[in-house]
Formats: sequence, structure tokens, C-alpha cells
Amino acid sequence: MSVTVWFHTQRALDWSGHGGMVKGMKRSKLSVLDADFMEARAALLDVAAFLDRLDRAEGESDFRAEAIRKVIPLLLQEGSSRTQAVLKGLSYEGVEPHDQVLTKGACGAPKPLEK
Amino acid sequence: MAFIEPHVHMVCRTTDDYQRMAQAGCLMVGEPAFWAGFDRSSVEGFRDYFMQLTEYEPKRAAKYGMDHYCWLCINPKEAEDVGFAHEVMSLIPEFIDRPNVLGIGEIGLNRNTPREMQIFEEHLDLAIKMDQLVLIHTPHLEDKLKGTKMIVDALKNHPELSPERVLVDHCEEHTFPIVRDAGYWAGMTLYPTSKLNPKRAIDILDQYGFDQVWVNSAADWGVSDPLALTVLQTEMKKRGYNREEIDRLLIENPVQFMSQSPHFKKL
Repeated sequence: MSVTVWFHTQRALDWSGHGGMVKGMKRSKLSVLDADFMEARAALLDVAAFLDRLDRAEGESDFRAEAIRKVIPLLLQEGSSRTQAVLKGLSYEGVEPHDQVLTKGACGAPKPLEK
Repeated sequence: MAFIEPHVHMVCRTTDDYQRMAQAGCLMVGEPAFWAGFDRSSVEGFRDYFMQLTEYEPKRAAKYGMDHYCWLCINPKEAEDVGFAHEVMSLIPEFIDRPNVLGIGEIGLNRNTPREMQIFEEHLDLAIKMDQLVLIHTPHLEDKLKGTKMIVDALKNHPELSPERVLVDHCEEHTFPIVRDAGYWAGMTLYPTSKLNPKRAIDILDQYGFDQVWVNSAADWGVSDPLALTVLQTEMKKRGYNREEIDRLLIENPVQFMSQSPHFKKL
């Protein structure tokens, strides 16, 4: 098999199935840890520091703090869909249009609707 | 490395940004019509904006060797006043045949209200009537999941629109499968805090592949980075993707979608 034929065969294999390549999925756990552990550690500390800062602050909190606390346990669930689960936990449910809109901007967590 | 920035709001960016993008390898930009950060007070404000998108910005881009394309609409943040939205939409036929216009966009939803949905569906009808490509904005943050489901449901009620001629942008982990499973193009946007970062975008590509997907910075007047795709390129190389694969995502895919418009010129 010539080098050219081999190259195109490998390309065809790379691109077959799953709508394209799946190359990135083949990384080892150690390579992911080497690449991303420190960044994840720092992000986790940011969340911890944010919650501490919030506790030290004065006055009332609101639904956003509750939303964050609700999704944190999802980080410990099994499988590889934690990001989806957290995003869904921070989203409005259903497909019905909103009738109550107070602002143009979203805030990152679903606000309990007034009755 | 070369790339196409298919969704960026250059009217908000300085000429320095055009220069830096060109120096970084940007070959072409696509600019959907969007919210200016404030509600415009008259239809004439939109006429000026459409002229800016179709006359002035292409000239700015050309100074740096880039083609500039645009999309026309009234964005969902200004769609609550239905009468005003209708007046703005009546301008679109006047501009739609200009040489850098690719279609209708970025239409969609913001807070998922009934009026936003009405104007979104009327834009879809207009796109069908004028045989135009469609570029769709999905809502932000907590509104994205519901809004994306509403948008896909509405699209399914317009079977005259071929799915391969519709791109639903700003997808994240929880909405990407909804869009792709329905057969539409999916867009991913790299933002510093909201939307996706490069690593998460590549995670999605790892799982779903490269078919019918584009990536963009959607840089505008807010905290955003018109060079975000260069960061993605670097991260893809670190993750083991080769030059051809990166080119497929950042050049061939946007060309494949945009070249369905007769106004799109070959690179």
C-alpha cells in the first residue's frame, strides 16, 4: 500500500461514523489530568471562595445563591453528562412562553415566577 | 493559521480589531444584525444600521483583505413592540439583494415571550418567501434551554425551510443535541464567562463530530474577544487535532453553510 493510499484510508477511518472524527475522545485520563487539573482546582477554589464571600456578606440573599447550591451536588454524579446536568439545573423548564418579563437580560439562574 | 469568523459584530469593534484579526489569519467575517445595547427610537435608525452593514462595514473589512457578509432582521430584544418590529421588517426587502447579504438573522428569542415568538415566526415566513438562509440566536443563560426547544418546535412547523439552510447559534452542552438531532446546523460561541470556552467547545466536538457545526466569537460591544477562534485553534492542536481537521471546522464548514447563498463568493 502506497503512502498516499494509506493516508487516505486512515482519513476515511478517522471521519467514519459519529458524524466525523472522534480523535479527542482517545486521550488518556492522565493526559487530561496533566492538561486540566490545575485549572479545575483553581475553578473549584473560586466557587468555594465565592460561597464563603457570600456567607460573610450582610443582608438577604436571593434565588441565585440557592440555584448554585442546588447544582453543586451534580458534580459528584456518575457518567459524563455533569455539564449538561448543571446547565439544566440552572435553566427554566418546559416550552411554554414566559408571560412575566421584567428585564431584557438573563441573570444565570431561573427566577421563581410571581403568582 | 487561517480562519473564518462567521459571527461577529464588527460595527462595535475598532479598526485595530480588523487589523489584529487580519494579522491573525482571518479571511472573512459574517455579521448578523443584532441589538445595539439600547432600543433604537425609529425605523430610520434601522435603515442607517442596514446601510452600515451593507455599505460601510464591507469597506472597512476590505482595507484588511477580508470579505464582509451580513444578515438582516430585527433582533428579538427589540421585538416586544410588534408594530415597530413590522415596520423594521418592511425594510428588509429593500436591502436583501445587496451583494454581501447572506440571509435573515440573527432572529430568534431573548426572554421567550409570546411576542418574540410571533416576530420570530414572521421572520421565518419572510425567509421562506424570499428563499433566504436563516441564522438563529438562542437565548442567554437560564433562558437558553427553553428557548432552544421553542425555536426548534417552531422550525418544525415550517417544513418549507430545509434544515441544512438553517443554523441555530450559541449552542451549549444541553442544547447542542437538540439542534443537531433535529437536522439543523449548530453554532457554538466562545465567550469569556457566559456561553462556551474553547475546552468545552472541543469537548462537544469530541462527542458529536464536525458535521453541520460552526464556531464563532460573536464579539460585540460587551466583554468578548474577536480573536477567540485563535485560542480555539491552539487548544485543538494541544488536543491532537491536525491542520486539516482544524481547517474543516474553521474554514470549510462555514463556507459550506454560507455558500448556499448565491451572494457568497469563493475564498
